[in-house]
Amino acid sequence: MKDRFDVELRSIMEEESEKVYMSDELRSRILGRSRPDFIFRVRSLLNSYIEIPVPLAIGVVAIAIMVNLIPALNIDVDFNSRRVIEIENSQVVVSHAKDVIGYED
Amino acid sequence: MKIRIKVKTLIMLVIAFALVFGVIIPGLFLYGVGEIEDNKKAAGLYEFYVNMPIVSFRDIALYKMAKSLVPYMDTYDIFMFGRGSSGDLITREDAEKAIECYERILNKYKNSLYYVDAYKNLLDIYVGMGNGDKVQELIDWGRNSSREEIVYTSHLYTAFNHMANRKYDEAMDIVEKCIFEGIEDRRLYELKGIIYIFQEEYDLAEQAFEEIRDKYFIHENSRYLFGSIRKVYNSYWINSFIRRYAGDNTIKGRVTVNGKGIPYVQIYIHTKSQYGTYSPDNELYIAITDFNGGFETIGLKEGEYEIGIGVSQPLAYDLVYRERNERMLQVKGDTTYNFEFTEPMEIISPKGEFALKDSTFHLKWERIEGAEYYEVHAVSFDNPYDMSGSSIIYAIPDEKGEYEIPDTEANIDIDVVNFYSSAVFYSGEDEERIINPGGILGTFYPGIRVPIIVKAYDAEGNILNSTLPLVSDYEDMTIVKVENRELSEGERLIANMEYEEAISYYEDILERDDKNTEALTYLSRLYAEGWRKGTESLDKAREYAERLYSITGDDKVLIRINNVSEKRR
Repeated sequence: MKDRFDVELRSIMEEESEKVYMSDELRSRILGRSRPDFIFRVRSLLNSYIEIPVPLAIGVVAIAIMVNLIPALNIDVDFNSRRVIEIENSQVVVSHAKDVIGYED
Repeated sequence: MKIRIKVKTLIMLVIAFALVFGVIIPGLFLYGVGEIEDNKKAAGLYEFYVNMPIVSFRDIALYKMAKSLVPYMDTYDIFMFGRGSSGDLITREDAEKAIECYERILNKYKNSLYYVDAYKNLLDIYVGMGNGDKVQELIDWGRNSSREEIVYTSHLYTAFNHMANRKYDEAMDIVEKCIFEGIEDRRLYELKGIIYIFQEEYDLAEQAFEEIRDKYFIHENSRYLFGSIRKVYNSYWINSFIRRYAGDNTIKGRVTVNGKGIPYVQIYIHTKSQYGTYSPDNELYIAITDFNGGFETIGLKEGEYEIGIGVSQPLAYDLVYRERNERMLQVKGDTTYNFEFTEPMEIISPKGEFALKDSTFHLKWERIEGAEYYEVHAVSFDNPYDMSGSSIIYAIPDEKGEYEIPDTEANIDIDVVNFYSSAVFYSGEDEERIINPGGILGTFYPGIRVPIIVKAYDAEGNILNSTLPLVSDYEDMTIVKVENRELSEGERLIANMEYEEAISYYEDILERDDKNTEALTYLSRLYAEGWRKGTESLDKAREYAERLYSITGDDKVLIRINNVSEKRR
């Protein structure tokens, strides 16, 4: 019963709308109104969810930090405390104080 | 495992990450490093910061790194007798790194807060390094700058350059023009005062210094006026100078390195009463060298003076002062006195620190033109194990006992050297004073380090060159680390300054073995030198030495006693 009604309704609709046409102007107006605007699209994007694998997230953060830190470690300035040995009014600079930590009885 | 996150939350996180790591942490880092008192550590941390590819405030870090490396440039002062420097040591490497930082600011950070100060500090470093060409190049560059402060700084240093080249009128024209244009810079007025001093217009100089009081510095205030050129002070000094020195006699001369003049060197004088000190504090330079290294002092009273110079510490690196065998300068009319420097001669072998496993080593050095003879010197320290405390440098003989060596090589036998008196220090006062172990054990004994220096002399005894420059690196020296044997028990007592115990120990040995050469050697030395005030006994020393001679037949055992007798006479 149900199937027959559907088919009947459909044939009536087709028959009645056979000679109904939509103007191009109306069509474009309807399409223009129904298209989402830029802000709507951005908002949709911002509110959309993405899934990021945890290892990837950690990896990206780690790489970002490392890319900045690794070149920074290339330090020329000598951190070692500098010692000056006085010899006859001349000064001898010992950059690595451990070099002259000597014998202890 | 995945994180589900809204895109907008992710973007917020990225921005927060960039803010925290790009601005907040760097700002806190720079603040923290600024609180570190150790300039060297601070400079290293600033360099760490500067090296980061993505970072803000890089110009600030560059400026602070340069300032930490070279906060100011102290001078190395050389008088006819005394010499030395005060303040923190600035090496040439420090100065070169600071130059690099300032140049980066000038090239890349035109809008930096530190742009003008970087320019001025760069000029100061080049003045300190005696690099007149670079100073002139920077002045020319600054003159065309669109920044007014840079143009003014360029004029200021042009005036300073004119003053150094004794073009006082040109220098004063620039100074007056700047003052006329309303530039209120304390440094400008100080320069004006110094120009008047060099023109011997002492009243006008006094007036200029009076005007300084209510003026401020346009650039960052600094300990020095230009490079390592000292500030002058006040009218008190001018009056003191006029009273003590002002006259009609001048000293002219040059300051050179291998014949090439060094500009911007300060010339000082000392009166006879200040003889032996090297600090020019509370004194003023009486000339500055020009681009050819030449100088001409202001007029001085006739008399005897000790003349001196001040060069910046980085400039003193690897320079040997060709010391003249003169200690006072008689000034009458126009007198000439030159200061000559050269690059240090080289010890060809052995180089650096080396462990001496034997009792001899062969020393070879560079030939110096015009040298009549060479001397090998050893350095003895108050604490020889870590080379600290005061030091004495003295000539040591070669294996044949010769001090003046005509050739460019020598065999040094440390056992032979130890027969001769070495450097004697006393610690403590009066009755309690006690001799250093090296005074008894000799120049070389196990466990210590002994720097070796070679000097070249002309026929008149003037130093032509030396392997020890004014400032050098430890790695560049020849150091003997004595490792040829272990200390004996008696030697250990001496090394620990337990002299009474050492005497008992050796006397006990002699009771058992009256021909023990070690006991006789050290007892002879202990009594010859005396380990404490009043303990010396030449008779006892001679008795032990003669017993030793009768056993060994080596007359070197008598050298020390003869030396001590000679000294006492």
